[in-house]
Formats: sequence, C-alpha cells, structure tokens
Amino acid sequence: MNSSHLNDFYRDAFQELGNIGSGNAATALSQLVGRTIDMSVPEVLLIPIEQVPDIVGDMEKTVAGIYLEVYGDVPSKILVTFPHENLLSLTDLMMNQPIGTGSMLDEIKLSALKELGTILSGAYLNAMSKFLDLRMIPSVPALAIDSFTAVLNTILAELSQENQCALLLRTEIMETENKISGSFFLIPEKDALETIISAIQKASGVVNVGEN
Amino acid sequence: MLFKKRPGWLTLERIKVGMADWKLAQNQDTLVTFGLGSCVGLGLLDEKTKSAAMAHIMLPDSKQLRFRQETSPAKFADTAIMIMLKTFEKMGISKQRLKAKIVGGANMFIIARSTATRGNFNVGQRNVAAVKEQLEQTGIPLVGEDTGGSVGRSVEFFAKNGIMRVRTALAGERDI
Amino acid sequence: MASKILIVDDASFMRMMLRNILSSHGYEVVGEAENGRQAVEIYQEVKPDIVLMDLIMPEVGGIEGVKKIVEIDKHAKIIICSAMGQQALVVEAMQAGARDFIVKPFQPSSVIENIQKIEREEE
Repeated sequence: MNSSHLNDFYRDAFQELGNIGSGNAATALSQLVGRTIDMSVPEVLLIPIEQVPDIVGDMEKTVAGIYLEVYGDVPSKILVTFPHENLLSLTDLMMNQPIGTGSMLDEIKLSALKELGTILSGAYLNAMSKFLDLRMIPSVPALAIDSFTAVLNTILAELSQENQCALLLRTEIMETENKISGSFFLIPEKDALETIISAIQKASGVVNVGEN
Repeated sequence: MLFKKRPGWLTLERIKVGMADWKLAQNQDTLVTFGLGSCVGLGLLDEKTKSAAMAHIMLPDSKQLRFRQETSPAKFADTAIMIMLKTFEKMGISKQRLKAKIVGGANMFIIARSTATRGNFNVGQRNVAAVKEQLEQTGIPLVGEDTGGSVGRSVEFFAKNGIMRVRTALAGERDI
Repeated sequence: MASKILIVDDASFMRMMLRNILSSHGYEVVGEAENGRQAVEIYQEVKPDIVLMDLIMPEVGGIEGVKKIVEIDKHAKIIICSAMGQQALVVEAMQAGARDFIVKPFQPSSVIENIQKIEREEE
C-alpha cells in the first residue's frame, strides 16, 4: 500500500482492532502492577515513513523503548515506550514494592521492563489474533533507554527497507495514581496490511471475501 | 535558491534536517538533526566558503531496495552523497575542497535469536560502512566520526567551523 | 516433601518473581535456566520434580526444551509459563509432553495451584 489513503471503513476497523488489543493489554498490565490502567482509543495513522517522526515524535524525550517483532500471518513491529522519569515507579509496582524503593535501574529492573513489553504485546496480540483468526507470535523483547526519536527512527529505518508508508496503531497507556504513562505502537508491515484487511472483511462479513 | 537572504550577519538560524532529508547552511547557521539511531548523519564542509551540508541517511543502498519508491535521495548513502556533491558543484565548490564527518549508525536493539524469530538489526553498521565506502570512492577525507555503539545521537553541525556537536540522551555531549 | 523445581525463563525478573513465590511456599528452587538448551543440561544435573518453562527464549526456545527433556525422561513434569497470546505454541508444547500451562501475568496463587495439581497427579 503506497498511498497514504486509508478509507473510513478500514480506519474504523483498524481502530476497533486496536481497541480489542489494548483492552486486553490494559487488563494484563493492571494485573501485573496491581493498579487500574486506562488505555486511550487507538489512533490510526497511515503516513510516509519520513513524516512519522514529525507527527508522533516527542523529539528529545528520553524513554525506555521495548521492541518486539511479530511473526506468523501478520509480520509487524511493536514498540512500547515509557518516559524515563516513570521507570523506577513502574518497576517498583511490578516488583510489588512501595513507590520510591528503587533508586537505580539495575539488571533485574531492565529485565522487568522487557518482560512488561512481552506481557503487553502478548495480551494485545492475543485478542487481535483471536478476532482475526490469524497467527501472531511475538519475538523476545529488546530494550533501549534513549531518546524517543532515536528509538523510533531505528525501527522506521528497518521498516523502510520494504515499506514506503507506515501504518501505526498508537494507544496511550495511563496509570493515574502515580502518573505513569506510556505508548504502545503496533506497526504492521506491508504484506501484513493486506492480510489484516482481508481478515477484517471476513470477520465483519463485508462483501467480496469469497466463500466462508 | 539555496540560501535564504537574511538582513544581518548576526542572525543565526538552526536549520532542521528531517529523516531522509538533507539541507545546506552557511556562515553562522547550523544544521541540526534529531534521533540518529541506526541512521547516519553525514556532514560535508567547505571551510573556505563556510558552507556545510548535512544528510540524515536511513539506508545503505538505493539499489538494494526490494520495491520501487519515490523518495528523497538523502534516504540512501549512495544517492545522498551524489545529490550533495552535485549541489556543491553548482555552487562552484569542487569535491576536492570538501571534508566529511559522520555520526550515528548505532545498533540500538539487539533481538536475540529464538526458535520463533528471524533477523536482527544491523542497519546501523551497514549504513556506516556504506557511507565510508562512498566517501572513499569520491575521495572526500573523513575527518571526524562518532559512530556505532548502542546509543542514539542528535547532532548540530556548525557551518562556520565544521564542528559537530553530538548529544546523547544519557551519555552527555561531545564535539567532533 | 516439597517438590524440587527448575525455573526456565530468559527474563531474570521473571525468574526472581517465580523464585520468590515458590520459596515463600516452601518449594526448593534447584536450578534456573535462561533457554531450552540450558534447561536440558540443568535438568539432567539436578533432576527436578517439576519444570516451569517459558516458551519464547533466545537460542533454544521452550518447545525444543520440552521435547528434549521428555526425550530424556518421559515422566518429566513440565508446566509451561508464558505470556498471553501464545496459544499456538502452548498447544505445540502440550503435544510435545508438557502437562499444564500458566499464563503471564499470573497471580502467585495460580502458580502454586498448578504445581499442587501436578503433585497430586503424581500420587
């Protein structure tokens, strides 16, 4: 898909997919940290890769970026980011200790952040793959603590080898009590887009999908 | 027109170079680009005219693409250098007068192989190698470099003296 | 007597969580492995009663780990412990000989219940 045009039907459908995924991810995260987690209505963007940083970028903000690749029927990339200033609170919650206990990001906390990416992605993909009846398997996670733009650009460079436009499903993650926030991006690759669209057609009973 | 006319020489402008983009600057102006992860920032400078150009390169080779696309030449190492040299030439600056500095090409994420997964990220390394190869082919000396590792970098390139100020999120800044 | 348990997970955080849960319930963690290959080596060495096995791990994953361990010991008691969204892999692991599975994120009580269930099967 080389045009940045996505018709309203598919935009809504992708948004609904994001809703299904992030609802499940929010549940998993709240179990993990023992707090209520809210997730925003997903934002769907289909834009030329070069324009992505200007549109979603928060240039110099330092974040933990957890990156996973998705294999199976829907090859995709997942990026989960949390602001640097939230990381200690977040890992305190995960380790079931009072906020303010952790003073530095040691090896266990870095591992906890990666696991957070795995659990969020697993829950998100689980709901989505059930809905679409497609196989989606996440890779092991990789972690970088760096500027948001550098993290994002690296993924975009990888993506740009085979894609001109990026489809991004972005959901904001919020925990109000301790003001922890984060972002979840699902970025399907080119071929995945076609697969998702025909699966959406099938799931929603839209015409021209062949026999059932 | 290559340069905006400005009223006074004291006016300083920071010209932003986006991803897969390239820009020119002269005299007091600087070129800035943010968030070089695996991407490479290539700066070329002519000291005599205080003219600088910087590209934010995403991929090593325009010929290796697996699909056709219309895109900025600055996206790839090979075509980025070509367009920059052509422009300098039009300005009467031959490539013999140019010096180069490069920044970026980090390996930010290493995904360990598992039974369920495939590749890893080595675009950064390939980008650096490709830019160096292009510089060698064109005979432009590489006079400064801050590449590789696993940290993201932002760069400000000063046209007046060719200094590249490299900023990182957690590891401070340095000039090259 | 409390079962001896081998924890297999590439995330040190997960291993720590599981270790804490298990030891606070009187179980003895006799070994920890970061991938399927290490799991097989340590299994042979320490002969645990129960293995908690993650699925997606670097180098050698959990399914391969289950297959190899079952090959060595067809009575091996392996519980898959993986993140949600890996049903296809869980099914594959169960076919390969795993006895049960726990989904992350889990409640400590569900880990213990699963282990007790496997222990009862033994009797």
